[in-house]
Amino acid sequence: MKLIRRLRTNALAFIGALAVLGVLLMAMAAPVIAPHDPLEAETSDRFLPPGNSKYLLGTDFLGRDVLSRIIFGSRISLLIAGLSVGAAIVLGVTSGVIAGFFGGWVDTVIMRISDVIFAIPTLMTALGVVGLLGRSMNAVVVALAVSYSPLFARVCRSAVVSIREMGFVEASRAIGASRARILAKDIIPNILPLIMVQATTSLSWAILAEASLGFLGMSVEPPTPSWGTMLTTGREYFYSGPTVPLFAGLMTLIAVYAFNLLGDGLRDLLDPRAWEQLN
Amino acid sequence: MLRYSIRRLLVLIPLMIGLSVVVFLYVHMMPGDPVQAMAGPDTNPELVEKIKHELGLDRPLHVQFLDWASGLLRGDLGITFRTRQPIAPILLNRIPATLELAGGALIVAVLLGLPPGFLAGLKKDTKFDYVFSLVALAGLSTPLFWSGYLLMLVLAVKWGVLPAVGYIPFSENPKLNLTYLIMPAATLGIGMAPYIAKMTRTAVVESMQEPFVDFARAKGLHKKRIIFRYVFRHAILAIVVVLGMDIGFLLGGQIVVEELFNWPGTGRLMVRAVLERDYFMVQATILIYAAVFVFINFLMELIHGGLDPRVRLE
Repeated sequence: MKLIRRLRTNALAFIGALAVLGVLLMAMAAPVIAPHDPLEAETSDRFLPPGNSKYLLGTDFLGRDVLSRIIFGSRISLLIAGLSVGAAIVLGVTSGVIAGFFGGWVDTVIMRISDVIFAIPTLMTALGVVGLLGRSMNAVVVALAVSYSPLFARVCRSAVVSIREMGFVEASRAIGASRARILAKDIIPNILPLIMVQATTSLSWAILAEASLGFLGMSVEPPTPSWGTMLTTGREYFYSGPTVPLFAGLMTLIAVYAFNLLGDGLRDLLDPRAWEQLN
Repeated sequence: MLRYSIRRLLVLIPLMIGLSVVVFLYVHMMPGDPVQAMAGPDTNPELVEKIKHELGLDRPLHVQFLDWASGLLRGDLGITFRTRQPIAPILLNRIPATLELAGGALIVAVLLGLPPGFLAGLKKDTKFDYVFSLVALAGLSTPLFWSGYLLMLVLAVKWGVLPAVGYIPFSENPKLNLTYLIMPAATLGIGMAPYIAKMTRTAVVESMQEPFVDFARAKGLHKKRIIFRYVFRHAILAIVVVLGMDIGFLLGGQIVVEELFNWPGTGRLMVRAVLERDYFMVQATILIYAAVFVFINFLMELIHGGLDPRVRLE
């Protein structure tokens, strides 16, 4: 039974990893694999339905190739997701580790702040930040980074609190290791698997959030292709070109699902083992 | 129970005060001049100063805050920048629609999510459970605007069964109101169902591991009886608690669904306000949302305390 479970979770992680790799490759190789320029508007070819030889997925309201726009759209989504989760990791892990390691009022203050941010839904935080900073890629990255930091802070803090009490940390303290050394050698290496798992899951939500913000009109400005904005502009031409948003949304679904699969698989693979090793 | 409620209430009050301060400062947190931004970047600076004076925005901050706070207590949420209309009635007008959507979505979500989640918890680690996990994950990964759009395309355009967009207040025409409600509520509900299903599964799994289940089995009780009398009740407690805490998804998702279906709720109002850079409106809506959020959490804490005596002793 246990073996089957191991294989299953391995398979999940494997499929997830493949899918994620696929999306990443697509984004990186966009200029090479996209059949057309995503910004090139052929007004004579507007609203072509999918399935023709020149434009595989059809064209949008300006005559731009949908497939190319989707491929290039992955760049924006992944870039924004990557930047915001990266920033969230920096901010969240630092505060979480500090809170867990030093405890006391530092811990309380950091955790209270992170609880407040955590309580507010991501979309609301994003609306607030975009409202302040205006509609731009920076605003979205800041908004998502702020939203996701508390997650990392919490996860790291609890991990640090548990690890702090463990035998090998006490041993390091006994031989006179400095705080910095304990942090670097004992604590950080052991929270890395947790961070990895959380990062993958957060990436999936970040992609979804960016698409939703794009849909609301709060992400990058046109004509830059983004999966969410493709859906909004597609809505206006609901009757003439209904397929554009369908493909954009489908692509979002695939990308998010890929990262989620990977995250779930990683969590099943890494977490219990990490703790077993420590114990 | 009373002492617990009072304790929770005492935490609530400073929280609300802190919240109002933060929301008030929100407008002043932006880089640059808020009034300039609202009036438009090309506006004559003299005109901007004049507007500032008109709206009382050139007074010292604490004076402005006290004025705003006292207004809040009177139910005055300020005026919109664009049309100088009082905000409170505008917001109030939209609340029925918002509540309707939220309620409908919750019903759909519970109906769709609870049964499969319950079954999956009972049949843990079987094929059913495995498929369930995959499907639930796919559901979680689905963008709301896509599933809603798909529903619109199929039900409204292709089959013409339901109207795509539209709204009429319940008081005017209940049947039509509900017809318009079906798709948005279904979209939001389908979006929330995977969360509820997963939570239910976890709750059931944990309940099954409780000692009282072993005791019931040892007593010789029939399996079905154990499940429905004991496990279900125990799991429901956990579900109710976590349900309240997942208001976040409902709030966020509602915004997207309202946009998609042109549903005249508060979510859409906030989006418009942000896009039009009407900071007074944004401020007011953020405050109301935050207040509702805090209040719902407070209610959930009360319910939790009411259901689980262990919580009251903390």
